[in-house]
Amino acid sequence: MDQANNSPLKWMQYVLLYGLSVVIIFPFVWLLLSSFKDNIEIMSGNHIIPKNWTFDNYVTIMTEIPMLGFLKNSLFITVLATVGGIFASAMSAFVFAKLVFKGRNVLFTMVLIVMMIPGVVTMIPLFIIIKSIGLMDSLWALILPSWTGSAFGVFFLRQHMMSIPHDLYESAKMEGCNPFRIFIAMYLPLIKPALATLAVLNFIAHWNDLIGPLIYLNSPEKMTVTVGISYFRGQYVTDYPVVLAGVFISLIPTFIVFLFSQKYITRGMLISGLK
Amino acid sequence: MRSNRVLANSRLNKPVKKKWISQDAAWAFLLLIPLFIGILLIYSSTIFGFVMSFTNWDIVRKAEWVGIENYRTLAEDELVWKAMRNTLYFLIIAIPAKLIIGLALAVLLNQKLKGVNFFRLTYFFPTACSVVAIALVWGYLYGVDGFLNTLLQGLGLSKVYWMDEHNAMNSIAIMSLWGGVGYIALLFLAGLQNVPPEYYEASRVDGANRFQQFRMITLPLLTPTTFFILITQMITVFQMFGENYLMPGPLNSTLSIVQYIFTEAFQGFRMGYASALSYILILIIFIITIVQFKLQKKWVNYDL
Repeated sequence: MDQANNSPLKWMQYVLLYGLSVVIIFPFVWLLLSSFKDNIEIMSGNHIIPKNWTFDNYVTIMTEIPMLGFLKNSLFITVLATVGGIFASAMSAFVFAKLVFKGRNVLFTMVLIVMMIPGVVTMIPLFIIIKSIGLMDSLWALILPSWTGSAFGVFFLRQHMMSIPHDLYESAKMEGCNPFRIFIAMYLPLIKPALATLAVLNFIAHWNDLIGPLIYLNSPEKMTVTVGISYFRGQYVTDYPVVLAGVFISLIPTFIVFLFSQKYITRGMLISGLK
Repeated sequence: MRSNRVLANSRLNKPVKKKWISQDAAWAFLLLIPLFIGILLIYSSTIFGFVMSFTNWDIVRKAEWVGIENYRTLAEDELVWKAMRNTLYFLIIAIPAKLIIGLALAVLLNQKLKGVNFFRLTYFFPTACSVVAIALVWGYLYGVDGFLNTLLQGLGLSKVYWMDEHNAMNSIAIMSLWGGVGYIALLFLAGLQNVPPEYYEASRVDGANRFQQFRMITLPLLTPTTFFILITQMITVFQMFGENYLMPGPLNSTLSIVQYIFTEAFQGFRMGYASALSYILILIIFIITIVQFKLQKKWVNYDL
């Protein structure tokens, strides 16, 4: 299979791979560079590198648009929803993996079936529930539903807890630890990589959520970054470098999370089959 | 994985002493409260939505039972059919392209090349980005005087009206290919790495060339991966929303089913009608998944 390193075939493969990287990276580079152009320059042609670099778009976005507020809201929702959701999933996964009780299998099957129910079906009824408990236009509308844990999370974490030798649980039990303590002190630390994988997936899903904020949030001061930037696209149709600056800012957390946890993301997306 | 589970189960069931059982059950009940609320919500929503689909509820007025009226209207609603056609069209152009290019990429990435990690990361990055960011950037690139047209004109070609009635869905498909192909490649790559290298060695001894190896070994052994990708991608495409909502083509040329459900429910407040459509969608997804699972016996190869 391996030829000499500089055979024409190898060469062609490199050209393909680099070519595709350029295609994938280009829109991001274009985005960054265009966000440093002024409006006149953007309108006057499509050269890639700005002639007059300006930072005004970023100033505009921070001062005239509640961008900082958007970022705060997004961070608030993402962090609370992720942490709470994962804790609940882990707790339930532990129950299904280690505790013996009547109806365990039936209940777990019910959890698995939930994984197969598409979100569209529950979208409207959940909206009505959220509305009737007075959570419309509140960030909590996007946080509380996650705190029940997710079927996929339970399934995924349970697999990992099952692979921990059961003797460990037995001996802790012998020493008189209650199941909740065993869960917190032993099992949570032992499945850290799995938790990290799930956390990264959840972080990305909440940060990028579009339909949730569209349904539940109305006022600009409650908006998340992702939906916020698509809103002020309308306000700034003619001034699109400002919008691009916003888009770029919204991608910074994604990029940071991606860089620091790429192995977890890759692994997570491979198993979940999502996206 | 499976043998692990069996092992854990058998260990679990044997040494448990009677007196722990009731205590376990109490703890289980306590710790499962959040999840239990969650599943209860989902199951009851599913039923609630189904009941709602037989009413004319509009949030403001009291709901009236209308029987199968919503479903009858659906069948005659031109926009429903438009959304279905758009989805099918997208399915037919986007999924084969993603599969073929993704597989080719995976084969390329499965070699000892310098910088493979860099390529993998780059190709995969768009998957982590929000559809809003991607759609906004591509929306500008697709502009009539946008970057892509400047590029085309620079090459001596004529302008393309990327977002007009005829091209809009294709343009969304190109964008989705750009954003999703790295993920497909990654899935195929995982499949490729499960192929035992001895298979290739043995076939080389028998005089097979690389093309024959690919056709007779790689492809059959990748069928489970392909099946997984096909199922998950189809389900995803049937639930497309963001791209269509953010890059609307003229004359509903990019209208998707979920987008139509969304506008009916949250802009038109026709909750009953929207629920009915969502149930039709679920039915379609369900049928397609079943058919896929039935068909898999014909082409998916599970024994290594």
